[in-house]
Amino acid sequence: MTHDLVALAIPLLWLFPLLAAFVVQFLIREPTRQRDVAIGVAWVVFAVAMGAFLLNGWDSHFDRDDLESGLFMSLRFHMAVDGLNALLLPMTAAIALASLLSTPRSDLRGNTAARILAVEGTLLGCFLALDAATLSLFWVGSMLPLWQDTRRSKSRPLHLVMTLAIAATTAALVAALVIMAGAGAAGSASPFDLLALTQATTSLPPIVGWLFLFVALLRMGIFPMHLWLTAAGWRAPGYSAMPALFTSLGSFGLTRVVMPLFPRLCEQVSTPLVVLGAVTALYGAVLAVGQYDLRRVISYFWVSQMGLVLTGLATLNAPGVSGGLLQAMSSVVEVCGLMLIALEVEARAGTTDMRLLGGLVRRAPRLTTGFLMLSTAAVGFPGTISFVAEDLAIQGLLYDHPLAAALLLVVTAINGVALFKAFKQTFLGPGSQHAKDLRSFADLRGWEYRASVALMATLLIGGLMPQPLLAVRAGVVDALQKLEPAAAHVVAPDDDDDDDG
Amino acid sequence: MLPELLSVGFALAPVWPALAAIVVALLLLPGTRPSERLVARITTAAGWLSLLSAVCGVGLYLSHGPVDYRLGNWYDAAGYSFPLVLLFDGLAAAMSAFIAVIVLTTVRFSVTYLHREPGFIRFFVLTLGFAAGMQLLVMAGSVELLFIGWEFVGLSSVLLVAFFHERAMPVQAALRVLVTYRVCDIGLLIGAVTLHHWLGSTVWVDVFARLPQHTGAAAGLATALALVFAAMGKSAQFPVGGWLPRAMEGPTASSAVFYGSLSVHAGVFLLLRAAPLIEQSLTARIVLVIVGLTTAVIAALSSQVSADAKSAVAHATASQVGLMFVECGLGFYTLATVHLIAHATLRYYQFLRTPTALHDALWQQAALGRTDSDEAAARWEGLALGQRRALYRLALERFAVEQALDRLVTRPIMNLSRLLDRLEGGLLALHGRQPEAGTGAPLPVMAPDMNGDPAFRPADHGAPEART
Repeated sequence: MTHDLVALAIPLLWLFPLLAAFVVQFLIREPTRQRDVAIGVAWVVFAVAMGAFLLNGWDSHFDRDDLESGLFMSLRFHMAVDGLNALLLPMTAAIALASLLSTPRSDLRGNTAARILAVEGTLLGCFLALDAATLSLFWVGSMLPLWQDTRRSKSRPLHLVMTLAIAATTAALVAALVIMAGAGAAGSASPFDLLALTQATTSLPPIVGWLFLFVALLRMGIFPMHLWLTAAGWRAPGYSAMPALFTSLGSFGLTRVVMPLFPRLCEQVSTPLVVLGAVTALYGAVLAVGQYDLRRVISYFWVSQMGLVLTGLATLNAPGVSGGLLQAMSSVVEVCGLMLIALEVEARAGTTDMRLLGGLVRRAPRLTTGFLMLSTAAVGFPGTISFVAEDLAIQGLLYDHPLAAALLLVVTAINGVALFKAFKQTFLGPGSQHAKDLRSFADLRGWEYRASVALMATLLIGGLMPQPLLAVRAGVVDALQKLEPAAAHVVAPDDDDDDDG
Repeated sequence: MLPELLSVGFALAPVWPALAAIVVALLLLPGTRPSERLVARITTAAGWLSLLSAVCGVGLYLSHGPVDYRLGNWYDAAGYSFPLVLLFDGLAAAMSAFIAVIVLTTVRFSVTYLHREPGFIRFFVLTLGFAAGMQLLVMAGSVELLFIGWEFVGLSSVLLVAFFHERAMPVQAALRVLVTYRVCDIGLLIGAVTLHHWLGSTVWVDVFARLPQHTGAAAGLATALALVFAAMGKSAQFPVGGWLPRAMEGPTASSAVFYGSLSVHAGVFLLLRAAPLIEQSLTARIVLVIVGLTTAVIAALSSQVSADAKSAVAHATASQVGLMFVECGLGFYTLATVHLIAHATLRYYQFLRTPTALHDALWQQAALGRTDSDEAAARWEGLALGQRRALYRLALERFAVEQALDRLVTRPIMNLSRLLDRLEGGLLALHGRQPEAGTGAPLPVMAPDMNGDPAFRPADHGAPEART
């Protein structure tokens, strides 16, 4: 029964938003109706994603083999809901929904709504895929709507850097797939099937691992490949960029593909990756503290958080990986919430330049409280998910990389200062003349308010009672620990769960 | 049975204020503003319950001595667990009772003092958060749990300094407090990390039990110095004490409870709690004595030249806390504990009286024919004119410690940040554009922090309409 429901949910999760995007873009002309349809679809997808999470969320990484199915023509999509992606599904659906609900009506015309739905569909497809080719296809596809947005923006450099990022991603993924197909490591029937590859006795050429690693690091925005992320976070049209940017697709790729398929490579690059992660965390923090623009502060803070995630994952030990995965999830919620507030400030004040703001607390106390709470959560204040995640990541670093652990503590302090400084300059004080001259500056209303409360409640409840969240990923962490560097053997999947699709 | 009941009762001391803070915050959630009377009642009830819990702690200690109370783990993951362990000893019981009394008094005082103040509810939510943090801090049985209380105290402190957020100065002062706290909190975290690495535990009881087998290790020195650094930040000691006089921008009641009485002594409490750790490191003890003495001298002189009453009391507080650091460095822990309680009580009273300082001075003049200021002036007369001028200027500038820190620490970091930003900007060619409404583009000229600076007049961007 559970299997049937999940099998039904999987195509719905990625196909439904993509079809809806097509409908909204081409078949509906009336803006109000476009908005209503988009929001309705997003609600349905969110509900289905929550259901899939509750039904299958506690399963282990790569233990499921029961959702392979022929879809159309000769394509076979191997997809599953497991411990690694179970949380990401409702989270991505929630971000897409929050983006749609928060976008000002005047901005939410067909194009924007369709792009948000398209990104949602491709991201969910990417998370669900257990096939390297499908995953790569969705991976590149998830960045295209954002690229299209930047093409229309007035910033040519932003468009150029996005084009370069997508081109590099596409080239690396295509090269990896070609080499994989050539190697035929898992037999000719399913050369891209991730599950089959992890169980294969022969290992893939390391170059494939390097290519996937490069793509994952690029998507995470790891220094020095972060430029596209900060530029897009700052200049890309806000609401449609949110689902594309603020998902942990990079860390997901690392744990879905690189770590299980290339354990020996991971062991070899573990220390350099820890160093790279720590450097990225410090770099992002130092840049965030000197910014004048709220969106730039959040973008660099996001880079810093990604460095922290990489540092945790690269330890390859259980607390580090557990902390890294949890941090990847919590930072998405926090940064997404902060960016949402920044976009709401931009929609109301016409700018996110903090020198032109200040004193907004008097007009928007809810907005102010939301930013403060999300900031404190983002810097790992006790009682929030980030506190647990950082604690675990630092425990993972403690014995082999104590200096990196100490550096991350410094990074956390700088990040705290950067966000509070941004809070002070945007919301407190007497305010600039520009802020005083604003004719109207409304506080959070309706769904904006509810979305902010939901984000904060998630962080607080998850932080006070982190055990269920940790349990969701426990199977994944366990499975990754059991991977043998030589031949990539994993825990044998349940025979009961196997079927021939 | 009785010790179990008393233990549970004592363990609830931080729970009551935390619960009350959550209740008041939830009352605000629907967008309605609860009445002052309701907020005052909830807060007062939490204060009394917390006091009752603290009395349980005193009873527990008197009847059964120190108790290591383990509540299980907060979370377990990947072979690591976060233990929830409380240490009920004489120090915890005494401090908990003291905190409960001070917080209750503050609540009663503030209900009247802040009547009809726009931030009335905010003040009480933050005070309750502070009370919960402080109670947790003193009864924490591990460094991690102490850190949680420490952070709650820090955050509520920062937000109360910025209580009058419509003015630039309190907001700027709050940022200064936050920076100092965040930087010095690294010490506490490094202390926890090195303890884990060195002794395999951060639970105080386990740490103290394992110490005799691990004396003389470099990790011991590193841990002790890290904890001393954390204590210096919280207790406004040289060279990171510049935030204390600035923190006087908050309401008088919060100044009294935070910077006269409790928060500023949290660093001393940490030293007392970690005494066995610090004792085994001569270097750490020497550092404590030097830092304490230096602070005592600088703060005492700065207090003498302060133009306003609250700053003078703040400097005097730092000076006395410096002496407590010296006492801890010399190993006089009982003296430091007594000094802490006595000093905290006196300063609390003094801070609450500062709004009536002028009235008090006039009264003193009428009764005695002289004031404290006259006595201070007489003390200065004892010095030669040249010495007086030099010392006066130094004291007035607080011995230029803050300027030195700004020049050596803050500015290089900010300069590095902006240099890297320019490099990236150049790389992307995104800079140098005229600001456009809605894009968040930078202004053509990069300038230092302009927020609140009346001289800063950005280009007119019009007054955009809000989008709906």
